[in-house]
Amino acid sequence: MKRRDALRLGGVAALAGTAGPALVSCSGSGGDSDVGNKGKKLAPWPTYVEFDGPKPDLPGDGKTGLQGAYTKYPKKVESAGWDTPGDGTEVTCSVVTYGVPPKGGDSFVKAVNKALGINLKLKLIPSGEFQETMSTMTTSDDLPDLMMFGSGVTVPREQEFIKAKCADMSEYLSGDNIKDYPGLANIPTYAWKGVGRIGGKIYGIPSERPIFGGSLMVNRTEFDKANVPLKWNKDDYVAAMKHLTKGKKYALGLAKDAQIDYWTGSLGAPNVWSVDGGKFTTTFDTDQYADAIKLLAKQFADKQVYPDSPNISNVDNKTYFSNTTLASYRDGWGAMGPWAFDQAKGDFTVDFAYPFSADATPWTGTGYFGYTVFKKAKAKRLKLLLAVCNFLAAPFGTKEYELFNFGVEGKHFTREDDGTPKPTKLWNTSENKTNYPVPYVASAPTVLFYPGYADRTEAVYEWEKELVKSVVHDPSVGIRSKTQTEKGADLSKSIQDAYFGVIFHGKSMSTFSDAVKEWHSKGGDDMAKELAEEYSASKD
Amino acid sequence: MSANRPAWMGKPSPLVKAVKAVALVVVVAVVLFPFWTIVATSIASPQEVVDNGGWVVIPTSLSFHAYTDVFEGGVITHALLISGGITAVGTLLSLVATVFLAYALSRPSIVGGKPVLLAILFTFLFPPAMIPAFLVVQELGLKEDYLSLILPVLVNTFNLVVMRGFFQNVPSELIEAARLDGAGDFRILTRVVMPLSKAVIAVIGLFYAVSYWNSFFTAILYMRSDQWPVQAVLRQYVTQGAALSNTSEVTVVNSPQSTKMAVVVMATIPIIVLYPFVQRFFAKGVLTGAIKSLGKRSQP
Repeated sequence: MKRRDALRLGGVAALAGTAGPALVSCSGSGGDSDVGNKGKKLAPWPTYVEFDGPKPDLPGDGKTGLQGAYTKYPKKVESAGWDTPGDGTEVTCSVVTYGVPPKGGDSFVKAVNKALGINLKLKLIPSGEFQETMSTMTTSDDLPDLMMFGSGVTVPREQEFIKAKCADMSEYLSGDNIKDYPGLANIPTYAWKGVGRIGGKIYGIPSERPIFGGSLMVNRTEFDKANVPLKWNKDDYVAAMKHLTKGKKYALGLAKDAQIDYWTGSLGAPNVWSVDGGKFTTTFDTDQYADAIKLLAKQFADKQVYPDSPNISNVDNKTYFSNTTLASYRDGWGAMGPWAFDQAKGDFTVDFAYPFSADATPWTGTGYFGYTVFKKAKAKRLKLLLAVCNFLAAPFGTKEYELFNFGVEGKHFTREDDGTPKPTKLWNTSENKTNYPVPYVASAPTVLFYPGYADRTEAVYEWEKELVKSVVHDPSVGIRSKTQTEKGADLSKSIQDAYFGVIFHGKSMSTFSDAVKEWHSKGGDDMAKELAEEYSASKD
Repeated sequence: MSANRPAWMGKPSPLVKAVKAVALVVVVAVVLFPFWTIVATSIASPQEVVDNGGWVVIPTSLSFHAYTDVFEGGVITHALLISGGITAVGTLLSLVATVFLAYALSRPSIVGGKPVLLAILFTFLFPPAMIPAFLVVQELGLKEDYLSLILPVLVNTFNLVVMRGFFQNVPSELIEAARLDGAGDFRILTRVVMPLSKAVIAVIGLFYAVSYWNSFFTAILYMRSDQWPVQAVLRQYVTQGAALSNTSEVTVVNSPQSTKMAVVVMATIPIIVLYPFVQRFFAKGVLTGAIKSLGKRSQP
C-alpha cells in the first residue's frame, strides 16, 4: 500500500468518523422530545394506602418519610393473601446488578418463579455498564417486557424513549386506580414524586428508598470517649475533629468521589436548588455552601482528614472506618446495617451523626433507587405485569416478602429463637437477591429493621425522627430540564472538581467562585429557568 | 575491557554487575509485588483483610475459605469453562481466517487484493461503533449465541497486517519451487509457508487468545447472564463494592475482599500457564514488524 493511498484512506475515515456519531445519535428511538409537564393534564399521584400488615414497634409516617421500625421480627408472618399473578408465560425484564449471575438450577430462582407463576427472565446489566448497555438496548426494537431505569444513572434521551416506546400506566396507577394493586399502593407518595411524570403521565413504578440523603457515619464509641455530645453544634464538631485525630488515626475520611452534602446541609445551604417566588436559585451561590468547603479545606490542611483521601474511593473509607483508622466518613443511608455492625473492629458502635447546627437543612435524597417501566402491550398483558410487580412489592412481615428477601426457609435461611430469619451459607455465598436482583423489578417500601441489633434500630429511628422535622427537599427532583439532562452531569462535575481543588489542593475560594460563574454561563442559568417553568407546571 | 571489542560488549566490572542485579531485583519485585499481594489477600481471613485496610502482604494465618466459597457456588467454574471454550474456538477460528486472508493478500498476483486490503484497513481506522455493531449482531440473529463474541472480531487488522508482512518475506523461490512440483496454493500455504511462520502464528495466536480471554463487554451486551465468561463475572466481584459506594442501596450482599482476590487469581492463572509455552517464539515474532527482510535473511 502506498503512502498516498494510506493518506486518502485516512481522510475518508476522518470524514466518516465525523459523520458517524451524528448518525448514531439520530438512531435513538423515540422522536417525541416533549417530555415536560408544561401544558399537559397531570395524572393524579397514586393514592397511598398503607398495607394492613404487622405493626412496627416504632410507628412510621409515609407522608414525612419516617420509617416504621421493627426492633424484633414480627411473630406472626402470614401470606398477603393475593392470587398467584402469572399465567405461566415468559416475562422478560432488564435490571441493574451488583452481583454475579445465578447459575442454572438456582433454587432461589425456581422458588421466585413458582411463586409468581411466570418464567421470569432477567437481563442482568452490571452497574458499571448500565448506561452503555441501556443506551444500546433502547435503540433496538427487541425490548424486554419490563425495564428498570435509574440506579443513579441517566440514560441519554431516557424520558423520550419511555414516552415513545413504553406504556402510559396512568389509567392503572393514578389516583384510586392503584387500589387494585395493594402492594404498589403501599409505596409512599414521595417515591412516585421522585420518579416524576413524563408528559403529565405516570410510566414507572419506583423502588422506594428512605428520603434521607448522605450522612456522617461515626464511631460512636470513640465519640463518646471524647465526650462529643450526640446533638452537637459547629464548635463541638470542630473540637471533636481535632480531638479524634491522633497519630495514624484520623477524625474524618473523604474520597475522590465523596459528596459534601452532610456539611452543606449542616450549615444550612439549600438542597441543590431553592425556589422563591417561582424562581430557582442554586445552592452553589450561597455562603453556607462556601462555608462548608472552607471548613473541609481547613480540616484537610490541619491533617484531620485521612491524607490519601484525594486518591481513594469511598469504598476504601468503609474499610478504614471498620478497622478504626477513621472515626467518621460520609456515606449513604444504606451503609448502615448489620454488615457495618459486623465489620466494626472491637464491636464499636456505628451511628449516624446529627447535623451540627441549629440552622441545619439536612438534605434529602430522591426517595427512590430506580423505577420500572412497561413495554407497550395489550391491556391484558399490562395488567398481568402489574400484578407481578404488585406481588413482588408484598410488604415486610408477609410470607411473600420473606421469600423475595430471605429466600426459602430451610434452604436459604433458618430462624433464630425469636423467629428472625438467619441466612445460611448458601444465601451468603451464591443463591441470594444480590445475584438474582428480583427486588429491582418491584419491591416493598423499606422498613427499619436490623436483625439482632434492636438498640441500633432504635437509635437510627430516633435520628430519623429528629431529621424529618427539618429535612429540606431538592425541588428539582421529579421534574425535567432539557439542559440538565444534556449538560447536568458535566456541569456538576465541574463544580465537584472546583471544590475538591479547594479542599484537597489548597486552591483559593476564588477558583470555586470562577467555576460557579462558568457553571451559570454554560447551562446553570438555563437549567434554573427550565426547572422553574416545569416546577410551576407540575404543581398538583 | 578488551581493546578490540566495542565498549558495550566489554566485560562488566563487579560493581556494574551488582548494580544490574539490584536493578533487576527491584524491577522484578515491582512487577511481582501486586501479584503476591493479591494471592496473599486471597488466602488471608476476611477480618485480617479489614484490619489491614483491604490488603494483606504477609497473612498471619492461612485461610482457603475464599476459594472454597468461590468454587462451591459453581458460578466461577461455569464461567471459566465458558471462557476456555470461547478462547479455544475463537483463537482457532481467528488464526485460520487470519492465516488464509494474510496469505491471499501477500500474493502479488491476487485479483482484487488491493481493494480488499483497503477495505480491511478502513475498519482499522474506523472501527464500528457500539450501537451499529449491536444492531448488526441482532439482525444476524446472533444474540445469546457464543458466535456473537467471535464473528465480529474474527480478524484483527493489526494481526493480519503483521502476518501478511511475514508471509511476504517468505522467499519466493521456495513458493515457485513448490508450484513447479505441482503444489496448489492450499498445499503451499500448509506445507511451505506455515511451517516457516511458526513464530508469527504462535505470537498472533497468543494475542488472539489473550484478547478473547479478557473480553467481557460484548458478552454483557449480547449474552444472557448465565452465559457470561469469567472476566464479566470477575468484574462484578471486584467492582460491586465501589459501585455501591455513596448510594443508599440496601439490597446487596457484598463479597469479602479475600473472595474478590481469589476470583482474580482464578481468572489470571490460565493465561500465566499459557505464556511459557509461546514465550520462546516471542523474540522472533516481535522482530517481525521491525525488520522487513527478516524472513529472507533467515532462510538458507
